[in-house]
Amino acid sequence: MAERRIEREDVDAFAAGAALLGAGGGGDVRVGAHLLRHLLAERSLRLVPAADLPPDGIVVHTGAVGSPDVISERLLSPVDLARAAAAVAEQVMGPIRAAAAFEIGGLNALVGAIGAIELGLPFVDGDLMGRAFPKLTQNTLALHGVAPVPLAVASPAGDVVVVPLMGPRAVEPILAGITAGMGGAASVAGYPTTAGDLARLGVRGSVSACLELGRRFLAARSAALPVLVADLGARLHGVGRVEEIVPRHGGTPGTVTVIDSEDGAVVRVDHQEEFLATAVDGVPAACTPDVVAVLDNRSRRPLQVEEVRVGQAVVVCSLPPLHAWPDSARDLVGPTAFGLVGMEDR
Amino acid sequence: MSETLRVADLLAEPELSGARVVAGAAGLERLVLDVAWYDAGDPAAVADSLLLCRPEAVAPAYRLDALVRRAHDSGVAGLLVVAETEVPLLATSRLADRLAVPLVWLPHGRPVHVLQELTVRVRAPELAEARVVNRVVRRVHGRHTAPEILGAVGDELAVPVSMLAADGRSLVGPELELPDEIRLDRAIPQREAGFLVHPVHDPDSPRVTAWLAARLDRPSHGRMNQVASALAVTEPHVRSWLTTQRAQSRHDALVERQTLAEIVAHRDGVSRGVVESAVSLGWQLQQWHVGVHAVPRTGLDDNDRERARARWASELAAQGVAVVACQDDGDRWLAWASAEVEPPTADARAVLQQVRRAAAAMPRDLGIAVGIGRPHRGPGGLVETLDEARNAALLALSHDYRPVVEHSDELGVARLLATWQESEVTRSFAETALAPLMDAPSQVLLATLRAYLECGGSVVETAAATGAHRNTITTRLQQIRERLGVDLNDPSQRLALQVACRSLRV
Amino acid sequence: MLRLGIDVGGTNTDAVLLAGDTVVAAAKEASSADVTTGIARAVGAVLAGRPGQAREVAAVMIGTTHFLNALVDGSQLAPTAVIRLGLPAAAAVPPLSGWPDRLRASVGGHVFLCRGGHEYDGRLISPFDPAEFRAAVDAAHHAGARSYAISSVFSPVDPDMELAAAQILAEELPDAPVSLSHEIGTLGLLERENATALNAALRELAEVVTHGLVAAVRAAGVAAPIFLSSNDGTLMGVEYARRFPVAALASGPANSMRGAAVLAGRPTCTVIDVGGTTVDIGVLEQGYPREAPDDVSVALVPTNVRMPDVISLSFGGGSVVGGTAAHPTLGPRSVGPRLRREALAFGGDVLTATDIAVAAGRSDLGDAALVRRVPDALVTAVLAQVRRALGDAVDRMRLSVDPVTAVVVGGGGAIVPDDLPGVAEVIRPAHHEVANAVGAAVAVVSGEVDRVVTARRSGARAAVDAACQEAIDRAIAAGARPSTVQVVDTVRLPLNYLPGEAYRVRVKAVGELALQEPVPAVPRG
Repeated sequence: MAERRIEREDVDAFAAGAALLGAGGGGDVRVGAHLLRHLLAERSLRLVPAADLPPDGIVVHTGAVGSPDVISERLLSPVDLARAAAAVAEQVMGPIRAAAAFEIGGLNALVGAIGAIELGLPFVDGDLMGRAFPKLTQNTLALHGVAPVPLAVASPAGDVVVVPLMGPRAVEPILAGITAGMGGAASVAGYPTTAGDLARLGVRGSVSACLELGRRFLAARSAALPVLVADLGARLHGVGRVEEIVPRHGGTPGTVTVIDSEDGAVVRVDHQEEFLATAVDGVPAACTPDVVAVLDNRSRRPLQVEEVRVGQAVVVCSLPPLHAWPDSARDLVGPTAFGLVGMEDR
Repeated sequence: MSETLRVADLLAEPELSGARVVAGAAGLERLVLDVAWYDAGDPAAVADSLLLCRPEAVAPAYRLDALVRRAHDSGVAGLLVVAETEVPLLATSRLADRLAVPLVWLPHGRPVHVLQELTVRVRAPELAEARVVNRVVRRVHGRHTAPEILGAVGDELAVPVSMLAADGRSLVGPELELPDEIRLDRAIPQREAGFLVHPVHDPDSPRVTAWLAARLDRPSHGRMNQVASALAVTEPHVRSWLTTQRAQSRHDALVERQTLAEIVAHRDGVSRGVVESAVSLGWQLQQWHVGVHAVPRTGLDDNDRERARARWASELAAQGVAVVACQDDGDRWLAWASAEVEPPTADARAVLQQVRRAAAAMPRDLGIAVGIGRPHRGPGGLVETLDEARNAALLALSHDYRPVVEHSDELGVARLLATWQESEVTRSFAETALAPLMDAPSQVLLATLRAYLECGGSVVETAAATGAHRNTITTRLQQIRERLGVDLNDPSQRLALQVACRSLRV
Repeated sequence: MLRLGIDVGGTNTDAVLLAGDTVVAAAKEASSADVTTGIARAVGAVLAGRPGQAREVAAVMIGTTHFLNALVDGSQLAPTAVIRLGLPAAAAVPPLSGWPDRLRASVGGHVFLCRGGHEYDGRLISPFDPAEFRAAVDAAHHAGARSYAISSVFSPVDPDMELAAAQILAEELPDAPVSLSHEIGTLGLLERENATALNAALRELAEVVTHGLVAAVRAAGVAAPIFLSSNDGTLMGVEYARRFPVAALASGPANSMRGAAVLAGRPTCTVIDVGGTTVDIGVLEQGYPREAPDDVSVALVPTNVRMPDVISLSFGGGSVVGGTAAHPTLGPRSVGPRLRREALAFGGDVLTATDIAVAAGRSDLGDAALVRRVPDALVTAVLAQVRRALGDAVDRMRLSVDPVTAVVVGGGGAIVPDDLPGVAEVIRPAHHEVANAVGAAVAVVSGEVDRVVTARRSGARAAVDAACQEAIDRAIAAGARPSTVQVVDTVRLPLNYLPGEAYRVRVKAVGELALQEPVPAVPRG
């Protein structure tokens, strides 16, 4: 089989796929796309399935954490990603054979690729979430009790913090504290895993899937909506205008209300950092870990949660998750993990 | 009893006062067979029930959205949410509208209590009625005035209750447009098209003196029964208040009459006791007074005369006359206004107009004749102005139209006219001058001319005095001008005509 | 009191004379290669036969496409140095990456990274190093740069570093134009920097254009103050336009919409502007064009310049009609300005959308006899296609489910049917062919503030109040009559995932232009 590579021409598709899989969260892919395009000007990135790597070879995951606004201003630094990954390598005392993305949804899909380029390593065709989730630990490894440690966080100022050990509940607050100290955003490397474990426990083929999704999206973006939806393998829940937005507040999910302009149906989209669930006329239609996406109907661009405006013409649809989550994952990635109750009552 | 209750009927229940229908109004006519508690399970067994939700059951807000859907699928009659602040999502409202599931929001209320009361209402309407009566009796206890009593009852029933006069006019509470089927000449409780009336009997006689009345927007059988019973238990309280009121006002009138009699007897030399009693009545004896002496037609019974007197006092006040007292003195009413400084002479005209308007506002069949005195000062002055007012009233009585008002300031001219009008010369002048108006069909014009001249040439006051519209008066005056060939703007011609008019009547 | 509105387009230059909202005179002349000739002709035409009116003009408003054309052509751009302050952060994507190669070459491609920049909360990333910056300026100067763009990380939070850099530039190169990113854009370093670089590249042209505009107007005997239309359709003084040409890139859509609304007397409406090659559709709410939801690319460069939301359809009055009645085609090929030579109705041999309108009896352009041979079925099919496309676009722009009022302007308006789906009323106002110039003439003055505030510096509410006051002050400074200035838009967006309170505050205030009665000419004795 021919070696698969990500080229500069693939960036638009990769970004589009990642934006869709971001489900309205995961950060703005545009900064990452700029950088990736810049880095791929002179080289390309080799894409390998975890199963093709030596089973005991170590894979490190890289990504960005923190505020999208800070990232849009300070940009991303491949050097920081490499520094964080190196710090992790030092902890595990072994060579790293490949780099991977924490999540294939949103900005971090691209950041994973950027990290791999900077480290000069192949990029694993897979991730740990199959979409975007707000917490680093909402992933397939965590489901099997694997902690992200040793984990390293690096700032543009050259500071690197290494956390050799932390319990599952401590990950978010510790990471938030470090990130705040680093100016609101930072590069992170963690979940050093053997390729064998990853092939067994990770989400397989998600980078290829993301690229394919993005290609289909770009090809059908200007086509009639039913064509676009069918090409994406998505389910259409409504096309209409946003009538009301109730922002999330504390741990309580917010909602976006769309009135379908075709049949007047009431389409409700619940959200926290991501769009989590949608109900049509009060009947649940899709819910996390399904990928609920809201597209601007003018440009067909996938919208971030905070980009949705009252009066905007939007498309509400959902994509099946890239990973077949077992029932035991409900509390980790299901609606209840986001404070949504009663979604599965029927 | 097989009463069919609908969601909208329950909304009229006192427990749900303050509730509002936030969505799904199209479903308000759905039948309610029971009231049930929503406990977050599947509401399948609660078809045709009103479902009561606590705030916890519908928070966060999107849960209500799902509930509306499931309520619809289960055939629930409606949702009643007892929650203070949170309002439903727009999505929920739209969905409830779409599915015609009534969504009722009750901002204040104890859910358990509301559930109990509504359950009784739906399952045992008789019991509900008894409980209402019980609560009404408790609420009116210790309240003494009709406004207080009716306020409390209305509050309890969540519907305003009025006390109407025997003629249907409201004495307390909002006016009601009673339908013709309700006959106020029949002294029995009646109900018709959502209206309920209950007679209040005269404390002294078997006659109906007033009515308790209420109107229901949603006249369900049970609810009408509730209100009817409530009115029945309220009636004795109102009657008792009326008795006290009447005794009190009789006592007050007696004191007023005695005090005024003392003042008349002693004028400026009134005793200290009289002054004290005057002060306690609110009379400022040392001020300037203007007396108003009014004589209604004879043959009124005491009740009617007393009601008319009160009306007279209020009409005077409504026209801006600062009435200090308005006494009934047998067949006439003595009233006066007081002022701290001497009213300027120009005020006499204004007072005359005010009193004329007040007289015009009185029922015409009262045949009221009024005299006004000039301003005088002190207790003696009070007696004097009342004397002048009486004299003016006597002159007014001599006119053959009502209402009529005379001011003593104008009596000089009036007396002169009175002398002239008796002369033969004047009479023959009158017959000649007024000949074009002497035939029977012209009597209206003659009466109009007369009133116009007596009203000092004011069309507005003529209209008020004759009960005709201003434009009618203007048209008639034009006809009079044409027939008589006179210039009514010329004061001397007006005087000649006034003399002629008066002489004709003698 | 009269207002003179001028719209300088690629093909035509229009001028209108307005008394209040009433068009007194209008003229349409061909644009000229130089700045002045076309304007002089249009102004001359509109004032012709009205001796003395030049003195009654109280203000002149000009919308121009000079700057956008320069960017699209890559011509007349100044060699520009872009210096970013932010090292060691913000280094991975250097300035001007992602620009089209031709445009990048046109501006010289001189980019520099220096130490500096702030964190979101105002802390320093690293201190500003004057020596390092001087060295960069020196290198740029020797490489031929004539205009300078400075961007600093988080300058919308703290502009001090850009100001310090400007100070040094003023010392080293007193005559070089300097563009500072915090004066031009908001959060989003790359987009802000791009807009700043575009601005810097246009500075020399801005000198030429503003001089030319002023000269042309003065030559026509008009002494009134001159304003330029900005991207959102509000006015700015000539001096401001000289410093911020990027704000005057594309006033056309906003002016067309505002002009259409005024001519139709409908402050809230959907505007359909039918040109020769394209149809532009936009919406106005209470007289203001709705802004595009997405960031705008200018000449393929992503920026955060704010523009009106417009859908462009690739057909217009001059579009070539082909295919059969069963499968008609319309555009994108167009005869454009050659309509009056090449279209059937004008004796040419190309079947255009305008000919379809003539054949359907909707337009009295040209000679109806010449289009008689066009099959009825084709006419019907093309009109149905236009109706469907316009209806779909109007629907995508609509603000609510209520039917809208559509105002049709532009030369090809006859192809728009009266029965568009979802449209309650189609208005075709008089003078619609000069809607752009009318829109320029009736524009208001605005002041805008867009910055990031943190609770560390001040309370959030106080910060919003201060921003409102500043926006009002800016509007007044730009020439608004103080009593008419009001804040029309306030947006406070919390920055996500950051501790403490950091907000992006965006305030826009607008007011009417403070016009002074022109001084009457003193009779000479």
